[in-house]
Amino acid sequence: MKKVLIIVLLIPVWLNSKAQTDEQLLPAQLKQQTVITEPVTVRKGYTRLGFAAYYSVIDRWFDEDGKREYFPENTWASLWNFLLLAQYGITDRLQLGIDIPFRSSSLYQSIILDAPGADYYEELFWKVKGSGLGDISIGAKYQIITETPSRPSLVFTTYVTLPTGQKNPTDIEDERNYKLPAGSGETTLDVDLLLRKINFPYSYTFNIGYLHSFGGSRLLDPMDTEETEYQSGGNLDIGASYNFNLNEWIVLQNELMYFRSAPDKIAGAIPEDEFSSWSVQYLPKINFQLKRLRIVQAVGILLVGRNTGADPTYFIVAQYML
Amino acid sequence: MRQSFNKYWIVCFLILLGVNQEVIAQLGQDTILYKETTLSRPLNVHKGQLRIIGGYSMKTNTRYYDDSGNTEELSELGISSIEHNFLFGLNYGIIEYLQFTAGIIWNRHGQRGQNLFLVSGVDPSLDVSTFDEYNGSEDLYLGLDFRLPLKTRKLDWLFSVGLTLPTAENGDSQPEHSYGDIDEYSNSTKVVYHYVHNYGYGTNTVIPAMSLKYRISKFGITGYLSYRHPLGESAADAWSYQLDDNNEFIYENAEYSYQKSWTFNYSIIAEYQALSMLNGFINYHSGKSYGGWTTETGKKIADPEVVLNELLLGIELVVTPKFWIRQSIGFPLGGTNSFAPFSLNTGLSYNFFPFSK
Repeated sequence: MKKVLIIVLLIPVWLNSKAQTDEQLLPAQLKQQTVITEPVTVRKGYTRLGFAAYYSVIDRWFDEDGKREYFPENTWASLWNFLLLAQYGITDRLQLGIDIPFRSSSLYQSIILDAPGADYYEELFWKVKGSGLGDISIGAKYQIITETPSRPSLVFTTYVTLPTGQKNPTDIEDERNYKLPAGSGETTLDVDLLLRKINFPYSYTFNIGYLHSFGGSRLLDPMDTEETEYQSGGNLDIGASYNFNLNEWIVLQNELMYFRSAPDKIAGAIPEDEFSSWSVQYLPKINFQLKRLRIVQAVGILLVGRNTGADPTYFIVAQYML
Repeated sequence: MRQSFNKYWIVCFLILLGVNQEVIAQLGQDTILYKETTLSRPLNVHKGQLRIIGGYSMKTNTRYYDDSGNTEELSELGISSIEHNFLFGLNYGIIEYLQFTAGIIWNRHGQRGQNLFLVSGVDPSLDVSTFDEYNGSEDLYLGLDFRLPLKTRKLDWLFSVGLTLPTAENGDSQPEHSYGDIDEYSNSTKVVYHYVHNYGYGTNTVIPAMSLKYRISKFGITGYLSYRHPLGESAADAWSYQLDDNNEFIYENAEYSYQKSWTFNYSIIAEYQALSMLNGFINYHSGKSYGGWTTETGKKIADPEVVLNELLLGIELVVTPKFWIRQSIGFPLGGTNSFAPFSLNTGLSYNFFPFSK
């Protein structure tokens, strides 16, 4: 009976020791890890290519009292932003990346001018579109602290955006007919610190980042004859996420982001109608990991804010690990 | 030795019995869901099964079909709009062939009109905007769905009878017009005519419906038919308004009667079960509303007939046997007196047996 009891008692010990054994993954399997299980940076010698598309419209906004309002004017603006992404692992802790954007925007407006006394009636139309290469970003991501079962990883990311896109309106016929620019004309520096902890099948992140614009000059109005110096306000973002596997190949990410933007400067001064803005956004993302291919769908839902747009943003990303 | 051997097997048996009991407890009635694909599952839920459904649809209205079916480009006038629809629903299997259904939809839509800049010769000029806001829930739907107890699994035939209760506000709420301060730059005053509309019918409606599904190997085809009939007339307030001496709008309301249109919908859905967890489908949907009238202007005037034909392409992913995601993209094909929406639709379903032993 003693032997029987010893065997029974040893079963859990054996099971436990088996469970603690690290699973050795093949290189092909490493390239198929989900956003939960993969390292924060791309492994040494690996390349990840991607394509992203963002869509947003201007329909509602948060006013200066934080109230969500519709724009009453009959203006319709939409923006498609396409990105080609590439990331390469220099070492297991250092990754380089490049984002090449292509931007397509449109702005439509019309107004009826009616002066019955002067027997004058006219419909005016603004049909402004533009597309082209945007401002290219290059950067690096470095794991300052790598993750272990007892500690999170700490990652530093920095990206520089260069004013490669057309910054001024082109093909200007009049104030209602011209091509919108695809670039901003500014160089920016974006730095970010990220903490991530995996507790499979969950992971948690916390990040804080700041984007600084170095300013530039451009035509602020299509009818301007000279460029005006300007500088976009700095942007602070603080975020946290809670992510989990729905099954072996689908991950749901839940991100909450606080975003604050300082007012822009024009000719060295802040105009009277420029204000700082802030918003809190909930960003649920669903990740489909189909072997090396990853498809991410997300919608950014603005919960509260002030002096900023209140419309959702949609994006889809496809990534492939070579 | 013999005695030790027996005791050993008794202990092992007891351990395995415990493990086995745990496995059985974990599976239960849920095993039914593990065996089903999108294509093979019946049109109703199983006895004791509860399905909770959440959905979101975003429609971009950049075009409009006029009374003759011609397309008007709203975007060029700057009056395109976005419509958000949120759905919450549930199904519960009373018996294997009979389910209870409840559902409610909440919508939000803001429609701008063309701006008017009116120069009357008397300062200031008027900068007039018109804005129609549609915001709120639709009426609560309750229904029973009965599936014919056919022996073949190739064919499913479901009959439904539903009722909507007038839980939502109907007609128009008091407008929220505004008369602004003078804009010194344009020497004009901003006037916004802001109308607030509701989605309720103001009366009960009855909705008989039918679904018929036929399966061949990995393919399936489903036909769906429904009809919504208001049970009587409704009443709502018509709003008149004028500016007082302080440039504030004052409103008066007067009751009028109306009857919402009858609505007829049908769909033909072809689907293909590509993988056990992936189903692709194409859905042709047509909706038509007619027969409504209103006395809002003092005379009984017929509502225009509204038609919209759409094509939806989508997939359903079985994330887990209990949890499914359904996504589709909708394209307008034609219609009359209707927006021509491009739609992005997402639905989530969670299924379980809350009272299984």
